[in-house]
Amino acid sequence: MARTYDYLFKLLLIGDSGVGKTCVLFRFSDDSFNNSFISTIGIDFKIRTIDLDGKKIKLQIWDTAGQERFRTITTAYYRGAMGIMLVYDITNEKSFENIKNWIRNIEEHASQDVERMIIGNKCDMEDRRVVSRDRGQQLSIEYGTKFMETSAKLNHNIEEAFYTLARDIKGKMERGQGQTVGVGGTTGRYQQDSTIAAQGNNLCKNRHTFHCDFIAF
Amino acid sequence: MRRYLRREKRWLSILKQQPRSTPCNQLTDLVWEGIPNKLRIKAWPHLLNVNFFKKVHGGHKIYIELMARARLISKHVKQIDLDIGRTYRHHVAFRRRYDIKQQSLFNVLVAYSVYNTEIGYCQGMSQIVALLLMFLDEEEAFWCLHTLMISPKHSMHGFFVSGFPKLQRFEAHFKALLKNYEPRIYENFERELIPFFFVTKWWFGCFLDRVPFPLALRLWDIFLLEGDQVLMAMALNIMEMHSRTIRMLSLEKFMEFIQSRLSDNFGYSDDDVMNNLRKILYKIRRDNHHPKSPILQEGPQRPFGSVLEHTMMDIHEHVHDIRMQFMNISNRSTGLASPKIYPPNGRTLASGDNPSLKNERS
Repeated sequence: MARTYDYLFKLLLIGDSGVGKTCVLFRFSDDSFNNSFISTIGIDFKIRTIDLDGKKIKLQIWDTAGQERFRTITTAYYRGAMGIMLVYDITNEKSFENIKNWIRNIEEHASQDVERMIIGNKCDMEDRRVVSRDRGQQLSIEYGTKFMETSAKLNHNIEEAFYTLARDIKGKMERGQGQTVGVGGTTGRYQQDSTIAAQGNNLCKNRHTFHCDFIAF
Repeated sequence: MRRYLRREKRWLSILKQQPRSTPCNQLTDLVWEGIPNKLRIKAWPHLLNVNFFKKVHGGHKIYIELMARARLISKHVKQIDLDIGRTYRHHVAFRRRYDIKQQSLFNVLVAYSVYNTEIGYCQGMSQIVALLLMFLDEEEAFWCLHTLMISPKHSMHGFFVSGFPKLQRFEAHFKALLKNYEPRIYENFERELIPFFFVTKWWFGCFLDRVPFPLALRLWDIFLLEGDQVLMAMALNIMEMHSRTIRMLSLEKFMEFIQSRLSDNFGYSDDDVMNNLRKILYKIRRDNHHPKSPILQEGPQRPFGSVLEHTMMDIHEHVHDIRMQFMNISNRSTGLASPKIYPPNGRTLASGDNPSLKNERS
């Protein structure tokens, strides 16, 4: 079957329960918003293909349950992710403080070269804000990630967030590809290796081979 | 119409009898036909033999006592409140925030969170309890939930407890069954690298939200009667009935199929689905391929309701102490938003972080 895209990126949404991960995703994939989405049990999945600098990029986005208990299931899917969005709720202090824990989780379970981005969602609820923009910014500087405040409800910065993350992955990938010519780290290989969440050792092994290529410079 | 009335009459005569450990053929056939909606209020507790578990594990007053304590000390208040805000909000009973059924949902879930402390509260339980509350009153729903968790036939404890041991066991078993009964689908899953996480949502809520609601009700009827073998059989049934589609699907198309298409329209009449499910359930049983259950380690290890050893007075005092400490801390830091809480008798509780009882037995 003919492929309708140039690149395939796998993204993951994580963060505390109720911060709006599913809403962010639905706004991006279906351009819809519903105040009373049902809670995610386990993992859900959406796709959207975007145009980026003349390339068609298919984003495969995995949405995870926020309750801590589900981490035993969800961390298994970190390994295959090329980009991770860490979402907190600007009206919920705890969800912001927990970003540190989520980062630790990524460091433990995801690939070293995964692109990360911190998202402060629900920025339409200014009257209930408890986490200032500056604190969000500060945290992202501390961890060396990009940062954006979004509102899934008002469709504010949602597109921008996903495009930015995709652009960063693409940039990293192309830089990597440029230098691995002749080593075997081609785009096709990258796609193949990172299409799916790490299922079984085989895939993990492939990913690791890729990392060796990648980290070498 | 006459057939319907005859069925109802047969139901009424059965419901007068004591539940038996092995249901008679007449009852089994009736449940497979679908329980009349207005009789679920009696039939569901009957099928679960709820009175037995209520008698063994508690007695009459326990629920009220638990609830009173739980509202003060449950660690799960916030998560429960959050999930109630997104449980069956399109259903008339749960549409309005903090309305009567939402209060019942809150009460049952917090009461259970201090009763079965190994589970506490796990996402997915709010849908189950909401479903029960569509037919039953609070106390009955509480005991039905407990029975679902611990009865050997259903043993959902193993699904919801940390680490999800039963989910892992069932998933492995399902893979083996699929390989055996639907090898072409299994090959497609391998080829397309389709992970099996979709079964989580299927089994945690016995297919709620993943098939149209009327069909989910029929599945619940039979789940209550037959137990967790239904979960395995229905998973296989979906695969078999949609085999020609599923074995052609890529990961993306498959996920869309599971997440949206089946819940919008299953593609077969409810009767057809149930008939085929019955065939598959019995086939797996005949082949002796159902998972062996229950597994002892997946069941509850701690005693239930040890919180009841503390009097309300002790708890009030303790909560008061913690609240004072909490206020001292929060005066020093930024103000924390506390959710509006379901007020008992119109009194508003500032839930704060709902401090848990420190000396609560673990």
